[in-house]
Amino acid sequence: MFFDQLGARPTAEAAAERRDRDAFDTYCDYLLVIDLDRSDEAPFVAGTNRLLHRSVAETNTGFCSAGEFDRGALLAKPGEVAELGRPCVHSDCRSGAVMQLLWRGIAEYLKIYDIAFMFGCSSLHGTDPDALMLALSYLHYFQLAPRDFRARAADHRRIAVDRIPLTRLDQTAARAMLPPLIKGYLRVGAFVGNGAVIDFGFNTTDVCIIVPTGRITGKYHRYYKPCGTP
Amino acid sequence: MTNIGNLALDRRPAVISETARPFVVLTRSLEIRLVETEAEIAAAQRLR
Repeated sequence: MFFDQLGARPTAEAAAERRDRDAFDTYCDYLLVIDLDRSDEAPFVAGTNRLLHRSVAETNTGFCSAGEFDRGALLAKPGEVAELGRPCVHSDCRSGAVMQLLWRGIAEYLKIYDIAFMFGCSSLHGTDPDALMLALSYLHYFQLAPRDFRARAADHRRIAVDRIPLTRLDQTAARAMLPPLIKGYLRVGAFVGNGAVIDFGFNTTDVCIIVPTGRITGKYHRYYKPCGTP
Repeated sequence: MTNIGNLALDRRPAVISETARPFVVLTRSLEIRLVETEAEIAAAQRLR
């Protein structure tokens, strides 16, 4: 999906295998949404994302977002945290049900592992800051994380995100520009870090999303029971 | 079952690791659960 639909540039190995994988995959947990009706011997994966614990990251590859964002303030907090990455929903399954199910799975996962908050890069499609400035400025003015949760784009890659003055910002138009995934994060109470970075390899402009766990679990556990419970 | 990286399945709670049951099943035959095999990781990577 990243390569065929979003214009990311695959490595030669990824292109040959038609698989997106990286060094972090070995150390991540994956959530899978499986459509049983479309599965045979192999599961039909309708959606997925991956999660990486701090305790695992620190003893192995580190976090995937380290090259893009300074998360010093976040990581100074005690307790377990998780990085959420590579969210993906099959192009045939974008009615919202799969994304809802992923959120429920994430909520359960955070509860099981007693994770205080999660974070991760989230992408706007394209690498032209001018074209994305309305959305980036909106996120900066209205969704910026509190200082003690505020990740910051790495200085050497940082682009300004406040070039449209607040007084001239069309909020409705800005919200309409946001990708569904970022809208979903905001609906569960996410913040964004300070600044953005361009990822030419993935043809995206990335912001850092931070979600305190309580904001997710409170929302999704109201509607959710694990399998096997009466 | 495959031990995925450092996250050995025995670290996971019984509700997941013993039965490999999904967290949730919805109508429309959708379920969500943690990955269990290298083949499932490959399937996720192909979707990505």
